[in-house]
Amino acid sequence: MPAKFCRNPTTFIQSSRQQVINIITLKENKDMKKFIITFAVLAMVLAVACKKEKDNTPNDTPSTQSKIHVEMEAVDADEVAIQLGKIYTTATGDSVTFDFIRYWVSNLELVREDGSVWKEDNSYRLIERTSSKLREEFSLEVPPGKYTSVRFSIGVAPNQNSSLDSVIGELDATLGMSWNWNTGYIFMKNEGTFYNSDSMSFQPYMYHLGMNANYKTLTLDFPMTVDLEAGAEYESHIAYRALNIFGEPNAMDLKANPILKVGPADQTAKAAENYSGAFELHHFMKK
Amino acid sequence: MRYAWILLIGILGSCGQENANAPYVFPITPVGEVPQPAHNLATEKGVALGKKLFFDPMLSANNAVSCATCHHTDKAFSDGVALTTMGISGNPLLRHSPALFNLAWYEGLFWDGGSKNIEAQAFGPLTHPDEMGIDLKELIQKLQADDEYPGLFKEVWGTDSITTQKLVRALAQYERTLLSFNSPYDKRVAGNQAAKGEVLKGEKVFTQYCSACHTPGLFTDLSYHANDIDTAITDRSHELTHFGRYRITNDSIDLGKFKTPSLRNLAFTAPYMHDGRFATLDDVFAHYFRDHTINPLADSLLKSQDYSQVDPQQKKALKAFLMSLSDSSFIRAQP
Repeated sequence: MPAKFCRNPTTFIQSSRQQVINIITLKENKDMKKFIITFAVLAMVLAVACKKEKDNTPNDTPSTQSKIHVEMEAVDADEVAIQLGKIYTTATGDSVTFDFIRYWVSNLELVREDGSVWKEDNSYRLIERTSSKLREEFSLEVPPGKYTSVRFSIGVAPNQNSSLDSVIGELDATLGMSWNWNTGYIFMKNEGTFYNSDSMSFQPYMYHLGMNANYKTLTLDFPMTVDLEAGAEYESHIAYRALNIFGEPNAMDLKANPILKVGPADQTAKAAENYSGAFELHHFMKK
Repeated sequence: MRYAWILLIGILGSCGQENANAPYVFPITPVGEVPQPAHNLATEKGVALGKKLFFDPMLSANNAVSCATCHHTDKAFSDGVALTTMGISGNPLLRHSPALFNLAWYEGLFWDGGSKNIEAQAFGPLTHPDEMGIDLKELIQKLQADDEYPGLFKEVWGTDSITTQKLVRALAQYERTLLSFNSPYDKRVAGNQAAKGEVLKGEKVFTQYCSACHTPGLFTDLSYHANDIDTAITDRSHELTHFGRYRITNDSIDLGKFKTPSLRNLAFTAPYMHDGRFATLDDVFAHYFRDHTINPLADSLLKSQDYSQVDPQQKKALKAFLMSLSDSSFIRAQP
């Protein structure tokens, strides 16, 4: 639909009305009537089509929705925010540091009391804790109602995982979170160092985890059913226990496999199970 | 009355005007319609933009390397060398530049099929430090500041905001138009050209010894095979690049397997194999027409019959048949 009509459908309707009147005054016959009807119908269709498009632009009045502020925070075993570069001890006793933590959170849903779900559109977010960026907070505009849990996935759904040429929400293959030689997104990317007892020095590790087999969807229950009211604001804190990737529940051998990229499949599967079990909903409350 | 109709037509016409980017009409091929993804249907202007991008060295970090640097039109979009050093770093690549034609049917690009569609494939050479080595943000800035590109992107997508995603879609649209089905073989099959006895004799040899993998039509089964060129693969460097298809599937059955290349246009695409190790077709014959039963890595298809039985006359005839698969109009049709 051309923008020049859509910008002002009223003007268009007025001018076409004028046109119709002009034609009527000129001459009146059967063909003319047919024409006028056709013309009017088409004009209306055009006007309605244009109008509709205009209505589609986001213009939601906030008062009809509930707003949830979510913080998805990477934390250590004591539930303190992860500091990049700081030395932590994993469940397996390894000493590790983080240079950065980046992962996709996708296909977020809120589950209602009756089991139905509210699905967020274009639901792809890159959560990042890096030396230059801290992006662990986001907001949701949700229809009011009674909800019992939140569901989301870590990574990119198989039906999108081969499309490096699509942008959906924040999903974008130019952000260093995809593989070019083996098409697919990196779901979870951690880099840092670990202490190698053989060389008695800190050495780099790279955990670049993805692949369809490791796409995980998790459901976190609210402490109790929450009744979201229109116009009200809420906050939710989700802790991501970032050290779990190395040892809970599956012990990873950093010395043997400091680099996990695409594979080996058995190792990446263990790590994916670790990180996808590391999310905990800590609180959900009205602001 | 007449004017009113004109007015009406004018109104309706103007509604469609902004989409005056006509769909690209693919010819029907001997293997059916050209497949294309629903989210990137080729248009005339999209294909033209993709073609301009394909030949533009601006897509590289040093403004000296285009896609066409390693995909020459006069070689069916291959490059005539085993492992090119024409990328921005001058380092030799690890694999041979493949010829580009009839790509729309492939579900895997690269020699190991790791890239799952043509759109995604372009990210590889664009960003690889030994190929075009460009930072994608920098590339978009360069194109956005160019005199022509913003307007050309707008003609295709209705917005002059350039993104990498639109760029790779345009490249893919162009690459799907590289169709080659006009060889003497195709003319003969279509009944427009008589066959020479030698070619027919060669076709029999081909059918017995080659067609299981090089399936007539595309002359590839679009699959992956270990063709006995390596007896042991131990070099794990470069993220297992020498392991072939195994690198992608992590399945030991795929160790040493590489994609079956099409035999079409082989007159223009020497050297051969994924690393270009065979300079001539005679070298390829010398490899194939011998015993393959010893190598545990060799595909069972190679072990199922005695390749050393093929005699010099059969080889000569086979060569005549294989040459009839080369489409000289394809290399002439390109700029």
